[in-house]
Amino acid sequence: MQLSKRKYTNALLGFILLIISLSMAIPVLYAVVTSFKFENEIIGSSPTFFPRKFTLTNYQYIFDHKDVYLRYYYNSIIITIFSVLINTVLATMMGYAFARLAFKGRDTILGFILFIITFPLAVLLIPIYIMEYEAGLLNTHLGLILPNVTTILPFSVFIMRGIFKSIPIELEQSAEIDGASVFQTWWKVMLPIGINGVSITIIYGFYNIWGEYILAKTLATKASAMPLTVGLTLLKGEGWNYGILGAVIFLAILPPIIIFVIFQKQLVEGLTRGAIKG
Amino acid sequence: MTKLRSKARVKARMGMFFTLPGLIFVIAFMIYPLFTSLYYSFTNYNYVYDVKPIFNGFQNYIAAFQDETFVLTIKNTLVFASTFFVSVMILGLVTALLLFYFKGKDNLYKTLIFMPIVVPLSLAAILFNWIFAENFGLLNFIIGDVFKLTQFTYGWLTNRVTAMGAIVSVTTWSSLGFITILFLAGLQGISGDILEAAKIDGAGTIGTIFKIILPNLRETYVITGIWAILRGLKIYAPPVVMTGGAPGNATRVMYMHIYDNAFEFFEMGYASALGFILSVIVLSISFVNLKINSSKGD
Amino acid sequence: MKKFFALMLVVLILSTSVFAAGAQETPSADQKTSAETKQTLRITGLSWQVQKIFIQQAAEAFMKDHPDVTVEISTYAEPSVVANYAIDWSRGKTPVDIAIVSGAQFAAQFVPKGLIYDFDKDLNFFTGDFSKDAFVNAGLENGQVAGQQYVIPLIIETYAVVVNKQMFKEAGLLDRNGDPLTPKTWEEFYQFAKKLTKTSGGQVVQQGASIQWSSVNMYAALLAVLRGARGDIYGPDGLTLAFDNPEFREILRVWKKGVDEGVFSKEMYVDNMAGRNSLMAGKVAMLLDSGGRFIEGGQTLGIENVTVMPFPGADTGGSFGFGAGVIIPKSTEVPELAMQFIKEQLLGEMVQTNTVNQYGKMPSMLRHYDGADAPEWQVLKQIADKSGAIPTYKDFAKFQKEAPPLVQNYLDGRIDLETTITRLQNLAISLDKSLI
Repeated sequence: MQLSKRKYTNALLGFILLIISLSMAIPVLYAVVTSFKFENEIIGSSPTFFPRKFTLTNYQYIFDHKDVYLRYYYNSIIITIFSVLINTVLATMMGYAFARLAFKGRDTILGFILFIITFPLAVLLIPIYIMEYEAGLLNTHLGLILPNVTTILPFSVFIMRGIFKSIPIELEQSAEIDGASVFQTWWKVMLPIGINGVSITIIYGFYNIWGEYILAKTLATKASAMPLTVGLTLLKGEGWNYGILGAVIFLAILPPIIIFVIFQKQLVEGLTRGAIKG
Repeated sequence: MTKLRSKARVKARMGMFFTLPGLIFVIAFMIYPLFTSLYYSFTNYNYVYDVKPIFNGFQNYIAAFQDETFVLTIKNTLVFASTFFVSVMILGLVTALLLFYFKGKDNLYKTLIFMPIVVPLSLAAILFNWIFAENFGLLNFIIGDVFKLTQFTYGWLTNRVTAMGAIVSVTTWSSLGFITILFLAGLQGISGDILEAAKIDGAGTIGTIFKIILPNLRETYVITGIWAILRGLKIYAPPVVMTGGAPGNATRVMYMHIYDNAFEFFEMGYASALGFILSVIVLSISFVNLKINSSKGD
Repeated sequence: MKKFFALMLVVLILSTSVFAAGAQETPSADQKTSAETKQTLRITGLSWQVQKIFIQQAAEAFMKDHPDVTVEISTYAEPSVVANYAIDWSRGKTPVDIAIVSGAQFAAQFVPKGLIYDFDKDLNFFTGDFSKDAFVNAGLENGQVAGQQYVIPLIIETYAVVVNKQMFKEAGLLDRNGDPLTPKTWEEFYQFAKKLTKTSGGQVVQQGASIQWSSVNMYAALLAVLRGARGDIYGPDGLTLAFDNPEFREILRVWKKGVDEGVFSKEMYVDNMAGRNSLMAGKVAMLLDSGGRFIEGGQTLGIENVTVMPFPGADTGGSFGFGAGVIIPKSTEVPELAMQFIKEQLLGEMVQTNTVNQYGKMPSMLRHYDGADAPEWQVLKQIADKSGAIPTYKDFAKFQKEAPPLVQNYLDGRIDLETTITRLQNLAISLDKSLI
């Protein structure tokens, strides 16, 4: 009787989860499905969900110019991977310092770093543009990596600091007793236990930079360095043709989804491994 | 005694060493723009038409609060941010709890819930603009043609209240995945022993949730809370794309006003001042969140 | 976990070489390549402009005629990006030789610092076949800052009413020739819209009229109807916009009546394309928007089933004209070549007739209207020739942003007519009008 009640509640939980998942997925599904429709099915008097007539016309322009679009993908990948790499290294280091390595002025620096996130980026665009112009960094990968890292670093530091703080101090102390240096403690003890935090930082960095638009549209005006988010919006006519919008969304989310599917096991494991589970 | 002091000193030195690279990064890239902005905020500077910025003290800041539209945007932003905060925090926590307690193959659910994260918010806003469209939108299509309830089809974006609701929905949809991940990590971080002890003491699931789990998620509240506050107060793409601030100025948010002043009116001085005001508001509210959730001995 | 970090390390090493290569800016056409006699002409525009003004085809034709020239086309994502060119231009450099912009209002930001050419004074453009009277008046006006011609107009659009003929027929609103009747006053316009609105089960299934009321474009509708009603958008000083008059009050009153009775649609409040979409879906009878939209309506409804007519006053007082044109930065090294491209291709028959027939963007030169297929273009040409363009004040952007919410609030009944008029007029007075 206990068992069947549990099964019943479990099924209920599953059902609610299904509803939530579907609501999350349907808009994206709709976009993808629409990308394969003719315009008269989208705007016409009787819209449909699944295409009555399947077509690839919305992708035509992209196929005709595949060199350019491959370049956009390439740019996005390079910028995202390097930014996430640099961000993760810096955030895990700084996070540990803010959590466990006290020194004078630490809290002021933390406050300053947090202040940065509160400021609207748009206002800083012009000074950043001028800075990069003088340094010759416009339209380069580096020119996009640096500001992107700076924008996600503060919050990543915040995450890592929280994660490290929640690790019981005994673990560090026992490492210390075993003769580990600060660096070794960080590398061998804190990082592995805090791996779910590291995963979160990576995910946070990845999806923020992959979808970054404001910095990119100002600092990369040429296809040589333009990432996908900006490049795809060039497909907008005077107003969005919804079929093309669907194609744009589909192409923009394809790589992250593929990466997620491939690394799903590691990510989920990294995310859900408890800090001190039994 | 000396061993302890030198250990602390080693730690302090390492602390600085660990902080330095990131700090250099941030200083190099943010200091110049931030200070330039701060300087501009005290000047009258139209960067297209004026040759030089002209110092005008606190005039921009005073003018900001006399600007009816700006004050309205503060109110709109707070309304949006609080609605968004409540909806995403509650939905996120509930979803995380559901995933936590569900026994079975949850990979599909996790994938679908996390999927909206990869859709850039600006594209998501355009997508939802279309879903909520009065004439060809998916929502009205489902209500009208699928459920045959044509009298309930509505101009969602042309009514002040539902327009705000629509914007909150997009942002919640886009953010739910990440917040759920954060809460889930927090839940996993609760010691298994405590949960075991509760079960042995005979606490039901509901009781465990309210008495043990929720209080133990403090650190997570700080992180998720700040994330939601930041996103809520600094929102830009959804209102710009979906309503343009309409109807009337009902959905005009602060960031929109700042952006217009900077890039359409070219008033860098005024826009910088507005930026700092936004900054201060965000900082204060984040600080409140931090204080409420700080654990003892912090 | 160890494997994960090892993987990351490998990625890091592998990508370093790629990264190092990518850190160099790919050599752009900023520098003159080799010392050949080949000249390069670089042109940029928004992607829809490049498409609808046939820039690609123009470039190919030009290169065929001039084998020693290479034409490079680039597109920019948003107008704010062009604003950044000013930084290059102030230093005597430029990534483009010709830039397509929306008009003088956009070009105005480059004028105070002398960054772009005055086509009249500096370049002596208006000679021979290209004299000023060969151009449509609204187009030229749209390219003038403080009376000086800084933009050469390429395409123009003007506000008018696009009509679904079938709906007019069903409502019995045809004249003896079987053509749709034209409402002469705003009250008549409202009456027509009432007859043309059909409801079913409490929902509107056919909308009488849809007017461009979006936050982005309402300023254009306001200026258009104002000019139509009074023949001029300015007050007695010739400088300040004039809203405080009986004609404009009447227009707002009729608009509000239409909204209250569900006869005029509010769909464009938040979406400037909603009216055009409704037109194409056969859901609206009269669309007050850019007149060229009848081409788009024709795509789904059949070109015989759509036509255009002036809104009340547009045929006597004029309407509002806008469009796109080109500027040439002073930092370019090939101004003569740029002018040649403009005269031979951009203002040439191929571009100017194709853009009107395919996309509904009207030619800026009068002689190309002969090549325009549909008879509606003649109607629009006459309206455009009477139309005025955007005031090029320094602060006009403020009007564009602040007027729509005012009017929307009035139409929604949140503020009364007198308050609306007072606020609009105060707004008009408060604008910094230098530069005009």
